[in-house]
Amino acid sequence: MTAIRSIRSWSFQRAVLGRRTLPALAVALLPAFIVAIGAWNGAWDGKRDAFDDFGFSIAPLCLYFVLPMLCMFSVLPTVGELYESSAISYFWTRPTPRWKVLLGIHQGSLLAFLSLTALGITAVVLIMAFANSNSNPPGDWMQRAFGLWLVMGVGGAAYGATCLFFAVWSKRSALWSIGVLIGWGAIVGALPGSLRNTSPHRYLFGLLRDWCGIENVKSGFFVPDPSPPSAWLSLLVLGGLVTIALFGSFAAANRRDVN
Amino acid sequence: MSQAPIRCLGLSRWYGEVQGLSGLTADIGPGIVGLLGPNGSGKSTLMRLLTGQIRASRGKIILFGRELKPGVWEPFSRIAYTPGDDVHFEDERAFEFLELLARLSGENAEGAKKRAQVALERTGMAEAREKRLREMSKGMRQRIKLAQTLLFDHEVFLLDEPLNGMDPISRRTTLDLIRELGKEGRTILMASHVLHDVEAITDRILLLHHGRLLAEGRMEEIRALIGTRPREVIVKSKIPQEVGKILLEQDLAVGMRFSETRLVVETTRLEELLGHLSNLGCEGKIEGIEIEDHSLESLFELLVGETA
Repeated sequence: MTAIRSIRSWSFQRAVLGRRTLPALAVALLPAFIVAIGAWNGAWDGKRDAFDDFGFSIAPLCLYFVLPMLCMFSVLPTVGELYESSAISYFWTRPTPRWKVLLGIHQGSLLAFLSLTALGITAVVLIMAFANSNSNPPGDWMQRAFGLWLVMGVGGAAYGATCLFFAVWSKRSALWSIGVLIGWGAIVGALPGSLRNTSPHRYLFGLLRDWCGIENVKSGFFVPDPSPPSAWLSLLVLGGLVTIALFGSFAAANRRDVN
Repeated sequence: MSQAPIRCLGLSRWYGEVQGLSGLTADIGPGIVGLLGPNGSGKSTLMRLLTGQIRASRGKIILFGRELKPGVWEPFSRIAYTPGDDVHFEDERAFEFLELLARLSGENAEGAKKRAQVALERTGMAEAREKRLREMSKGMRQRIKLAQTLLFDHEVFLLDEPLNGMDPISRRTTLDLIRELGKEGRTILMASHVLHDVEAITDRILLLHHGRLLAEGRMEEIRALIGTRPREVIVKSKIPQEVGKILLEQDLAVGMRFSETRLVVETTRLEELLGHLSNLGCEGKIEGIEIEDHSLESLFELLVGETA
């Protein structure tokens, strides 16, 4: 456990205190920036309800954009740089199984992801709640915000593990991650038809409905999924993805050469 | 007779079409062994194979009587390794870096702190403990790399070019440290492309060339083949003219070339010259040295000629 704890702490610090914090912070705070502009322009001065807009626009923005981008920012540079510079040698030549190192990196990156996401969602809620003081009571806001944060956390665990697998398995991890997280996740997850069932995003929307009570979401050109899966099925599928991606990472770490 | 801690049996590694190491069979037992060869000769490939970072295309490695395979990590509790590449933990402070590696080896928080402090002291880096690695000179980073091998009481040390970029004083203290470890009966495999560095600490060498083991044996036998050809030492200094004058007065140079910040000295008395440069380093007159070891090239020409 010492090894996992130490790597978790190192990985967390690297993601939130390192040179790459600013772009990650910018992504996390993008929804807050958008609602700040809305509030400045009087979007919730009476006609529209901020609480509904949080569910309709901000939640899908977080799931479609912030989630995949922040996962990539949290995981790929840490592992990619270790391999590119061969600094991974210092970890692989310790009497510690590689899976412990990777699990520590996954946990540290997830903590960083959750911290940044919490900051972003809190900022959004504060701005919207103040801009629309006649909206729902604080308890409703807190429940919805916390629910969204949990959904993001589950998504972060699944997509973070996926990014970890690509970072260990391939030198072109950024391309693979963009393809899978944005292409298969965000885009296929929004398409109508049965293909949508294969995308992790569909299951995130299942959690969004059950944990936040959000059903009506903005989905661009496409009709939102009329019957998202139940929370249990969603957790099962996303948990399965985490497990498969982590085991894939462990296997890839034992096979990939350090050059 | 007890088995050597490191055994390589017909070890080969190809990188696509390129041969990194070819059919190496060698037993590496206690004491210091120099792994000598020019750049690209297969030294780092061997080091990476021995530490499980790359897999062999053919052959096997036996560490402490057990075959090294992917997923086997237990031998690394007895092996310390210094990579040849620069240490790329730019944002970490020296102490944090060592503490992290100690904890990664299973040490608790308190123990890791103690071990990191001791390792820093042994390598003369205690004063730089709070310095970030990106703020350090190449020589200091090399010492941090060495410090991480001293965190635990290892039996085997695999040192890949540990003296690269070090100033004369660090060089001397590092060589002393390696000698000390060797005297304690540990197995040390030190890779270098500089014959003099290896010669300074051991008389047992493995000579690699184009991935093949060219020679194995006692230094003196091989040294006798080379003769007394002058060797070049590059001295980095802000006052190269003054340093050159001092060396000429001591009759330590048979030739010299100057540039604005460096001096190239040709000498047939390398040991004495290096001793003198160490003193000048203490006085702050020189910033670093590099040995252009043409004797190694002569040696390879000789051996390759003989084996061809």
